Amino acid sequence: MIELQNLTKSYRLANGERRYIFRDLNFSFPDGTNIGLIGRNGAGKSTLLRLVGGIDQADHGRVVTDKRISWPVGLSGGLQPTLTGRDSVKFVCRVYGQNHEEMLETIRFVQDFAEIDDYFDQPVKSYSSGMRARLNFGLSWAFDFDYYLMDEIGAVGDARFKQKSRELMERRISRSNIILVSHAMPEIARLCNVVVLVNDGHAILFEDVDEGIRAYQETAGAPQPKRTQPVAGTGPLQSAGAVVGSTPVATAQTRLDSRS
Amino acid sequence: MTTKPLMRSAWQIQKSVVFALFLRELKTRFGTYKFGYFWMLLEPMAHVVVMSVLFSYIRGRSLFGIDFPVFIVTGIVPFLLFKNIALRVMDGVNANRALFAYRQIKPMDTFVARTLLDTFLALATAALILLGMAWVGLEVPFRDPFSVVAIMAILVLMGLGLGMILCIVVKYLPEAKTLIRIAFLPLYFLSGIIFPITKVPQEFLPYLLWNPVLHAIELMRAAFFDQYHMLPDISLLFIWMTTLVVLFVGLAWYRTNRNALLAI
Repeated sequence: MIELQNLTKSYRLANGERRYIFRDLNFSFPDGTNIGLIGRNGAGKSTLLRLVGGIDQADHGRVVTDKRISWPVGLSGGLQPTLTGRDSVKFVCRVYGQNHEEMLETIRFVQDFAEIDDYFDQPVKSYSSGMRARLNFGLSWAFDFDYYLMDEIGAVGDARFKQKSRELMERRISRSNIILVSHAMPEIARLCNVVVLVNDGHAILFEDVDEGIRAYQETAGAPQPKRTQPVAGTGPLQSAGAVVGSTPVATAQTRLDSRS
Repeated sequence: MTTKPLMRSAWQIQKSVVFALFLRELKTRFGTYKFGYFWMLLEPMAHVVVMSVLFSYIRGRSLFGIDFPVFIVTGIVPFLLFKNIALRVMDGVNANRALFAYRQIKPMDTFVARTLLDTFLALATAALILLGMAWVGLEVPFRDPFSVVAIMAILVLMGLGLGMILCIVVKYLPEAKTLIRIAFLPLYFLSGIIFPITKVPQEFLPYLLWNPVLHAIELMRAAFFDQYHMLPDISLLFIWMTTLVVLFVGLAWYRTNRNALLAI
């Protein structure tokens, strides 16, 4: 269960105004599905992904979940230029509280996947951007999560490596789920079982992926409406099977969840 | 691949995050050099040794029968402890910003990890220097170890509280950073690190006594040397109170700004 309860998120613009991305959004992601997040540029897809991932904090409202959610797959944040690849992997293992054996296993997995040989023990600043990306992807897939968050699938490396990445990703998806932000509709259609269209502060669930993509293409093609402060997330497309404004589920675990 | 228990308690998470950050900081700062861990201790030691040799030369070898280098060390080590923690915590968020993509890591964890690391470094340095001084034949009295530990603890907490406040100040006012760094220089002189504050003309004392670091340094020296003439108005209560206030303001301000600190 991943549920958004009265989620409000705004950013302060340079001129001091507040711009609301979401206002009192209530939404429930369906369980056990691969979810595509689609929407125009600036609609708030990535913000939503970051809120679900616990990276960004809402102004008020909350994300309630009992799932293990990854950091954005392939994210380069954990790499410190002067540290080696091995140290970077160890750092993330420690953050996730792994013991020594688990850590060794993770290191072996990342080392095998990234195929950067001796560079694994060299400072990250000496890596090419491709090597960096391979290390980051390996690190993300090395951990067991219920949901992997992906902000665009960054395919890296040569054809053989891409093939290997795809196979690994598909192996993971068979056990876990993904939440994928993408503008590439073929990818969404291939990987996702449902799509969530983020538009004008609403999130609308489409259980039929093709229908969702059509709705997206309508919003993308339409002239961009002036952004107004959206009202509470009652989506207009109830007919599309939207799970909007569902009853909030109270859980005592929220405080722990937000960091577990 | 391993399966972790679904939930870790907040305490377990914080513990592993602080430990991970501590090792990361340690490696980032010193691990990449050859003999890195040697430089780690050499840097503060060099500072102390150069200062004490320099000022001993200028002022003569002893002062109220206290060996001057020992006098300097008992001032410089606590002062550097306080200053390093405050400035390191101030930079803690900016230096680790990218790490907040891991949902477990919060700004407070970087504050705690940095405070622990600098405390650990200061203690190791102090122990080595004092042992070294005793070994070359200087008199290193250690009259009241309990007070020494208590005053170090106060300075650590005060540095942490001040660092948190400064961290939020530079979040909204990045240009203040240079000014803050410069401000520690006059504080160095106003805290009686390199000369006993009793040498300052009487009429300035009421103003100088507002500086809690001065109180801490004076108490530290009194805890080391029997014959040290402490100013009459020095008060342990005053620095405890200051520390509590600074920590409270720092924590409260952090609490209200914690989301802003996370924002990229």
